[in-house]
Amino acid sequence: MKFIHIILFILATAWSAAATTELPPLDLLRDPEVVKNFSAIPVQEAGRIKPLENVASYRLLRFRARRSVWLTVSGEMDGQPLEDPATKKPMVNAKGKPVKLGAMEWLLVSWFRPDIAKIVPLFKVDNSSAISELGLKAKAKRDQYSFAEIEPARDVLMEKMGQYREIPAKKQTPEQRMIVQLSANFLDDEMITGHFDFIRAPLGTKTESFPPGVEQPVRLSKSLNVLAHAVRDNGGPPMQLPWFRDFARGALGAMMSGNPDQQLRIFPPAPGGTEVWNGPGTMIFNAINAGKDAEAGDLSWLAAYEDVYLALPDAAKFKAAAHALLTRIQDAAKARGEGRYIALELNYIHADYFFYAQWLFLAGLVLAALGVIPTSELMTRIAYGFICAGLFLALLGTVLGGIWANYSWGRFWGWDPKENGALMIVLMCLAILHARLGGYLRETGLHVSNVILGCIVVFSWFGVNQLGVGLHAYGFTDGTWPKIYGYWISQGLVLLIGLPVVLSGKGATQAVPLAGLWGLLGRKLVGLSKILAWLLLASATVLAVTGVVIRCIIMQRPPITTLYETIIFIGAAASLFGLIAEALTRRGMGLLIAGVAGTACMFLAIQFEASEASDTLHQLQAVLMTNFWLSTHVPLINLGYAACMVAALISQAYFVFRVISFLRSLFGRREAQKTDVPEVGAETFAKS
Amino acid sequence: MEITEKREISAYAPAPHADIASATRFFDDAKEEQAQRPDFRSLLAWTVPEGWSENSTPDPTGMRLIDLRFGPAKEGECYISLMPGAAGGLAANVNRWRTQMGQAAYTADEIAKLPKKPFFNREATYVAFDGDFKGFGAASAKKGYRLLGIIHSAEQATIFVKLTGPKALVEANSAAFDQFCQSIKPNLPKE
Amino acid sequence: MTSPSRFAAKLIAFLSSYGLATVVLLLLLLITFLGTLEQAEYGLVASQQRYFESFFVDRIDVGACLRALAIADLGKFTVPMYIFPGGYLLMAVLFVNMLIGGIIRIRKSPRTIGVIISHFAILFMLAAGAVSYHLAKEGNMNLREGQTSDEFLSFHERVIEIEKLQKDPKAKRVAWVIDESQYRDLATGKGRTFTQGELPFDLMITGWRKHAQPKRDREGTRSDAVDGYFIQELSQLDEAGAALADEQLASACIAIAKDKKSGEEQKGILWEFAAAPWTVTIGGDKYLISLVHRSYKLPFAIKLDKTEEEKHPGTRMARRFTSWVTKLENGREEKRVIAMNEPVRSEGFAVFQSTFSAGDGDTAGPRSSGFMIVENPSDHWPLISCIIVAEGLLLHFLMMLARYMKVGQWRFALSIIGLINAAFALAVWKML
Repeated sequence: MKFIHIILFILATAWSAAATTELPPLDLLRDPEVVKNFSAIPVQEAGRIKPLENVASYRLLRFRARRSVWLTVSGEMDGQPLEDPATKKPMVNAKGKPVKLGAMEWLLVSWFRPDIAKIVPLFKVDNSSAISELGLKAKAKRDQYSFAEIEPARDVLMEKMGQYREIPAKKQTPEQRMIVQLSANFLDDEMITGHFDFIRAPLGTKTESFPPGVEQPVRLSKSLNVLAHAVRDNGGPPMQLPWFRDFARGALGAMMSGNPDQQLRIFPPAPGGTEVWNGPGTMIFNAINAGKDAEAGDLSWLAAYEDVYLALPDAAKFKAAAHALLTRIQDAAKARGEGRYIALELNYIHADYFFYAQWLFLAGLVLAALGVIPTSELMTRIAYGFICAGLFLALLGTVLGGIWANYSWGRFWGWDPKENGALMIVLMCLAILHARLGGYLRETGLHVSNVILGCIVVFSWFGVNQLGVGLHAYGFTDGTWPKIYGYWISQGLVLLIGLPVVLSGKGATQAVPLAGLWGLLGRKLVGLSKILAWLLLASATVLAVTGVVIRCIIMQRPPITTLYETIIFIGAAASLFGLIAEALTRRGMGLLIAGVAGTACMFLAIQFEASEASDTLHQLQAVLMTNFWLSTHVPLINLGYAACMVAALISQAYFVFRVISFLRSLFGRREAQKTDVPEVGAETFAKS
Repeated sequence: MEITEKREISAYAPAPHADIASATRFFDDAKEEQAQRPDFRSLLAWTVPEGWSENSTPDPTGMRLIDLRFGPAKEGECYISLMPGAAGGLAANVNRWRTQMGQAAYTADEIAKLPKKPFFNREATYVAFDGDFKGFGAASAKKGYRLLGIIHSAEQATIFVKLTGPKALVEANSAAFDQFCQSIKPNLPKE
Repeated sequence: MTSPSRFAAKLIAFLSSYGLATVVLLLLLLITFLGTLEQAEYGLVASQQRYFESFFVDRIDVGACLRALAIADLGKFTVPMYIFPGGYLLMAVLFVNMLIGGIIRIRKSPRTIGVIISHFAILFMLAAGAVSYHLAKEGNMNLREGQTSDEFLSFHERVIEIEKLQKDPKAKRVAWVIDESQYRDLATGKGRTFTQGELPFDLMITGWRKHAQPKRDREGTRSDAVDGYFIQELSQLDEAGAALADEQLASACIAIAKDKKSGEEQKGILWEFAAAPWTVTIGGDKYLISLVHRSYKLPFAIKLDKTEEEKHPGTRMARRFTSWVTKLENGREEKRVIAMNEPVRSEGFAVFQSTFSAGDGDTAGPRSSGFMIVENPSDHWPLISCIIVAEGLLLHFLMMLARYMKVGQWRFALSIIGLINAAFALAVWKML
């Protein structure tokens, strides 16, 4: 307990710049061999074993919503190159162009060249008034600030963080939220850049005050127990020891995060023992708090870690020591049967499946749009099919959720908002099907209902989390209501414009031979584009599905526990649906669906990944790993959402198609020929 | 309206309590004496001597159970601290204080001869010496100071009471110091 | 044809119509939407009672709905609605509609067989819901390590209990029980007297509040003070404006015991969170009166031997709570293990691990476990119904697809269903 007090005290005082004597050149830290070596180091974080690169990635993503940073004044590609504080030369590559750091390179620079890391624009601030509130000079409304730029306001930042953290998250103003976020990021970065302080100068510089028995230069792998004894035996508060402040500060840096779940745990314990990995920081803190000596085995880990740092600036020695550390950790992890998927995960990070899938989907979509010959009758049939599939999946998913709840805590149905959201979708599907059977809904009615169904899906998917009650509330995603309303309003407009046209009986309802620009291209070219679209969309779907499956293997749980994962899953599933539908109908509609759903979901997911920017474990995930009912319920319900969403998309397309063909009939053929190549697939209906 | 429903109370149910005062039933009696600072502070009870007052700013290390000030300009300082275990032993602690006052360390012999005072139903080592006081974190020493201290070691913990201040002020307050030390009692948990 | 039978035919036609089904489904959709929105400010239990368990919805708080949707804050804006059907009524109508229209009167053919099966399963599910609504008991039991109990407390049902204090500590204890529904309407100014022949006093209840706390009457000026305390009503919303959970609400009321012989009155405050009951003394006898959650008796006792929490490595995140318990019944002892997601079922009761407390620190303090206990006759019905509905819908939609694709409908549908069932069986076998 008492140690915590002291840590808080230290956190409240400024970090002194550590003595930097022998700085490694930047190029060594960007050496592919070095980067690859460090990337692959297995680390235990948030309850699972992952490569160090993943840790670096998520830290950087949290700080600046990107996985990379440019060594320029603006932090962007086109900025002025930054000057190396040691050599006073601009940091550029062989061609004289600015240098880009990947996440792992950034972490290495932060560790071994904190002087550079501190001047890199790192913290993304979306609200410049938060910066003004700290007494700093604000740049643009949304801009990036380096550690060195924030540092002068450190005291103010700490004080404000203390105040604002007390305010419930929902009541914080955007500025307050920004400051709380910035201060957490700043403190974390302070610990990252100070990570090797415990090797650089573990006890500071006042050598005369060091406890007897400490060898110089001080190495914790040798002297940790002596120091721990000195702290324990010291009668008064440990802060009275002149070297203690530096020591504790070094230990904090060694920890690398103020969040206990994200401390650097890099030393696997011997097989059979505890599940929790050790790390340099935890080792030091345990030695002082636990009241018993660190064991020789643990200290040898610390020594191996020290070797890496002390090998600098000699490149060859550094590489050898880093490699030795990597092999040792890998072997120890292997002996425990852990870290099997490290290579797979590295591959996953680098392959960037969803990013490539997004562009393939988009290309496929454009090509598919060229070959589409939809008729309103076909669209109605397919939409109806998707309602049936949506009902089946959503109904089963919902009921399975109830069964999960019943077998987990004895309540089949709790009227929880998330459950109600799913129920609303099921009820809407049922109402649509029964109304159609009863003859109340014909073609137009069905499409109107589908558009409304889409609005319900959006509400169930995003909206219910915003109501702020219930077991399923994943936490609030800022500013989601405007997006939901945006969708609702857009759907209202679709109906407002589309319905009069359809009801007046105008606009084509029959398949019309290809005309206009497409006619000029010729049938052969259209056929070719269809084949190409097939290829592109199929490979995009394969990429997306592969990504989902690999993620599932790495995480050891179903891939649907965060919004990001859910969107990707739905995207992959919906494009698969589309391709299957296309295989059955062969009218081009399925390809369009696959393209639209795939492009939209991948794009959305990439947006959400940056805003989520955490790879931590949630309560739901904890349960999901252990429960069969839940792990069948979640995919089914999400597939149900996807199917209903596809139905809604088709119906939107139906209206757009009818309106455009109505417009075309107004303005005649000549106008249509002048139209440029459409960007959105749905608009191509006009040409058919 | 007739009461019709009746149930048997289980033999495992907690025994009934009758005639409990409203204040107890509504958790109103315990509220006022609830201390703001829990932790170690709640382990001990004491009486603050007249004219002494608690320091308004919390001490930076958070180690002091109570941090008192006295004297015209509040230059006198007295606090209780508590460390688990032997806290390094008597000699180390006395000599740490000696160092702070710019004095040479006592020999083991001298330590053994230090006077004792009754404390906590047992006895505690009492020290008193003059010197130039340079406390933790202070930039320069304060001249002409006097230190009074009591160190009591028990099995689980060591209790320190330390008083420093300009010599004249300390002497004027030495009786109050004794009285303060005597007032320190273990704060037994209430049932 | 006589006119009554024509009327009956019309009625049956109406009850079994697609139109009725559509309207009922849409109304259900609407109350689900409104009930979900109102939860933000009224809490789950209150909105469940108002929308989903009622025959008619008495009013709709449009203001609260709009705030929940973050559209606008219109302040207090409620619309009285006594004729708007509630969830209970709608589900009952749906049941009848499905039974007549979806099973009895539906044309029987290969085209409808899947639908009939699904309708049957959904009927079964609605029946399960009704059975569990009327007959299920659920509540919780908190045990410290070493403690034994055979009673559990309802989550949401409150009662007033009157117990005569026995001179002999070993004597059998009984309590008279007044259900909350009998005094819930007694706000300030309203009172009701409860009598029982075996009790020497009549009990009048008044001034009931859903969420309140007794406060000391410091100035001694309040006319409603009882023994120096008065009932202070509290807001049912938290700081952020969200409704408090029903479990966090503490109801309170004033009780007046009137001696049947002397007519003498004794006055006390009953409060759900009170540390002890209020004592009434008549002659030499003492009576304990308390406002508590309803207790249910188990046919067996549970003793908590040991409880443990397991965390995800290197995090503070709980992976598993486990309790080792002994089931005691008629002198027989049985050891059982209850864990998160792994309840123990016995004699119609299911015992779930719901909470865990490690005491003060990780090692200090008595550890305790909270169990949720449910007695539900329709416990497994939803699972059975889910399997049937899945098979029924699959059959129906696959046959539809087969007809569209112009392939043999039976062969196509049945082979795919077989495949899916095999995969599902494999998954169950592997994962359960």
